[in-house]
Amino acid sequence: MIELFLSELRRFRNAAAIYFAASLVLVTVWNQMVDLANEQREVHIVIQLLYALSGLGFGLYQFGSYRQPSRWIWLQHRPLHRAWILAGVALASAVLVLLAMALPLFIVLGLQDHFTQRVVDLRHYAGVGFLALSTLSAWLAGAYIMLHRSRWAFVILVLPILMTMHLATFGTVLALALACNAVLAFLVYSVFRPNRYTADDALATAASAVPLQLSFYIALLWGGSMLFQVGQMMMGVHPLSTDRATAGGLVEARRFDAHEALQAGLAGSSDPRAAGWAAALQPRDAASLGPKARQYAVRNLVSWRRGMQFNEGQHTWTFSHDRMMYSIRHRRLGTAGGWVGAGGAGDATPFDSQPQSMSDNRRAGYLVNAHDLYALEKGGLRLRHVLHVDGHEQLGAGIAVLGSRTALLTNRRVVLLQEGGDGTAPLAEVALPMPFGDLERVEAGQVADGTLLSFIGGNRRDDGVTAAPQVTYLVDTAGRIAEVGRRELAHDFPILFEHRDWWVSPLLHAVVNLPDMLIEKGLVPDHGANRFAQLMLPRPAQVWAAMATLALASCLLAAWWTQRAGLAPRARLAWCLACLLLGVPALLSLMVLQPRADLEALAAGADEVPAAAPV
Amino acid sequence: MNDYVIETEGLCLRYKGKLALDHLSLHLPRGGIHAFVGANGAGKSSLFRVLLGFEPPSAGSARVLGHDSSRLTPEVRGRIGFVNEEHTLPGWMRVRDLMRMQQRHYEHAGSRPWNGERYEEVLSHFNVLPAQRVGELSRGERAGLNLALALAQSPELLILDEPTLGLDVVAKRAFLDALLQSCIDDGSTIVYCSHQMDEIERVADNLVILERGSLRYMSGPDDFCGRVQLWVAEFPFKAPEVRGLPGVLQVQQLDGLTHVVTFDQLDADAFEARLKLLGARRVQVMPLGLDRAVNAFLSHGHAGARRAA
Repeated sequence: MIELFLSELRRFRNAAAIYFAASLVLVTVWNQMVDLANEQREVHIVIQLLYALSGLGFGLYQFGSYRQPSRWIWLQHRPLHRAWILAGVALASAVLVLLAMALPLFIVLGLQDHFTQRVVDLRHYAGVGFLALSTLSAWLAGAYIMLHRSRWAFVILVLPILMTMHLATFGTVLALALACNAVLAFLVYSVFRPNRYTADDALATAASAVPLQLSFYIALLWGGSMLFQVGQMMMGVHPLSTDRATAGGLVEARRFDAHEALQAGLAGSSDPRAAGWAAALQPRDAASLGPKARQYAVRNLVSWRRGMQFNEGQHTWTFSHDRMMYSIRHRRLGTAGGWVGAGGAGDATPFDSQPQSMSDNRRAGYLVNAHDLYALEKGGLRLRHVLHVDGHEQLGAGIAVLGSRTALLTNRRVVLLQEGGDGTAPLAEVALPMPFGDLERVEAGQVADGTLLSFIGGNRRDDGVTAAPQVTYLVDTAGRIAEVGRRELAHDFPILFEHRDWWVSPLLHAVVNLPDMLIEKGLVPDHGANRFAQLMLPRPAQVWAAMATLALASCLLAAWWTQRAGLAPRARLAWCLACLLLGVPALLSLMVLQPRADLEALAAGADEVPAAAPV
Repeated sequence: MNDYVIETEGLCLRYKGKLALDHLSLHLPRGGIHAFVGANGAGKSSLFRVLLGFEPPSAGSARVLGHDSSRLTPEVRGRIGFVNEEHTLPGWMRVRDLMRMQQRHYEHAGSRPWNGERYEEVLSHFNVLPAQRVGELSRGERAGLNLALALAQSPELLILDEPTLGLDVVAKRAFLDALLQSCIDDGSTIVYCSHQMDEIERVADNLVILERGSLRYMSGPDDFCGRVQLWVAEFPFKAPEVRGLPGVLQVQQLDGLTHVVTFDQLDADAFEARLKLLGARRVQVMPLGLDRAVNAFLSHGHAGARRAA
């Protein structure tokens, strides 16, 4: 094995040296212009994509050259188990990836850590490790695509995306990337054999089938949804077309401003005072409560959608996960301005979790994390603690100030604070009329009789939550709460479209959604709800019928296909059961793993008549 | 120990819609040099790919050294050497590194040790330096290196797919000598595929003729030549159609004489009488060399020959 390892290192050493030098120069120059380590997630995804493309190209080229028949025989026909041959090639490739791709990043990061004022945390070094593992994943995917007999093998690229693209801690993400690489390595091993057909090997077939089915599931959803919507657009009936929004529907509600949303809530109200409130309500007296955050950055995550920085006045604030505090730097002069903890500038109290900046309807600045809301004061270097929530209750990053009242949104309630002579005091708490995740938007409006609160649902309608009500409350001057309006929003899309994730394959739907439920990603939970509740949603009868029809049709087609393929009864039964349980994605994977060419080949022996006898 | 190094029963291989191997049943005895002959597309390379486990048979079975070809273990692979016509070797490696790698892999493989002397001896006929990169070698030099490596492995079964393409006369002779020596010293069984009949005539103990994926003939080359005869007939007028006569492989008109090549024409007198009955003034029979005999044998079923006919 060691000889193959060294041979492969020799083969690509020049290319690796050139890649190393180019990477070092480009990253250094780019990092000079922006703080790459603390940039937002999109920038990190672009970097990850570039490295992944390099890894993919490397794998495709390397195994594309080995796949040629004579080279394949040279590589495989030797007194060495194929596992050792693959290990030699893979280890050499891993070393090359580490040296050419990861080392320049470590060098740049290390220099930045020691010679600049920029924030460099442990998670940044872990991020480089994650990039290296992603590159290796792409290399393995390239190897699999090149060695697999089916041209559909490229769908394996979905697997790393499904498994590793999560806003979780670096420990979790690294573990997922390692697991993903282990799965991919096994898949490559299953096709890294003298005879690259895997159809006769049950384990290899199953190993190939599972990611294929997941990938087909995703592809069917994306492709099907795209086709359906493009069809709607071409016919001019797409609900998102400006002049076609369904009256009383969710799309229309999404387009409302705060004032219009409250008016819509009052329009269906049976309360005799509603017409008066609607007439008296002015746009300036209405404000939105978000939710402006459905997910908070967990500690030591690899990357975050909004980045680690924001500008406030003359200063750039950069959050450090090692210290759980902000580092302040003067934007123009570049001088360090010290650290800002939970108590403000110079305070060393760490934040509970990474806050994100936000503003209220008056454009006043705040910092909010899962459990605390701080108001930025005095040029932003002093923090005033506004609200703290405990336990499973988390803030929804919604705040509106209407006169003397302040409304705050959490995942359990809306808190109304009343400003009095001796400061601000709680006036009322309005429990959310629906789970936090279903909330599309919340509005507050000030009228003579008190504060109106409108809750519009439908945020998860595309995920199968059918109900999308709008509920309106009045909190009067004494803090009493009364429901003053309720209506159900119309459906913009057909029911089958809204539930497509489920009826295409309920089991694969659960598998694809499990990571979100199992991995701690800082998602604001539905207060008091089971984390698996979304898997047990009630489905309409026609959705059940569509699911059952597809499953049965897949099963019958699988029976026909496997009969043509001449598979053994046990294999046929396994495929039919898989298609019954997993639906169309399983059927498509069967057609890929037992393609037509195989059928012909298998049929050849049985049907062909021997050629003329020898002379 | 199994008496056959290669056994196939009803072996079929369909490749890209074509039947590359057509119910091939072959039993190749242990020992000696077996020459495989056939036109392009006869299925020789396909057969080797199936035998080495690189292509799954569409039907039938194939066994090598007594083992199912689709389940060859590394230990069995160590007993089988293979050299292809392209002499594919890693161009980025130096000759000495490649030799060391093969030596390490094969020194404990099979029952025979790595034969360094044979490696040096075969390579000495080529101008190859240990520090040279494989990619810098000419085709002939690369072929020499590949053959030296294969012979140094001392395999129990050595499969050579047109190995001497690109070799000059001296190198070819040296290689064939080494091949014979290996066969004698180690008792290796050698499967030798070539279009060079002079080479086959010199080294082969057994001749295997494949045509369109089927076995057409198998026996010693001398025996084969003994069964192919050339009849030269002189017809005073227009030569009659003799292709339809039993056993006729090839008919040619040369210098006003009709040359008829036949196979297994056991009753020579009867065939001569038949030609005379068709109007031949004079008939002469003579033996054929292997090259001409194989040529006639293969042209009988050759696609081009059929079109010409």
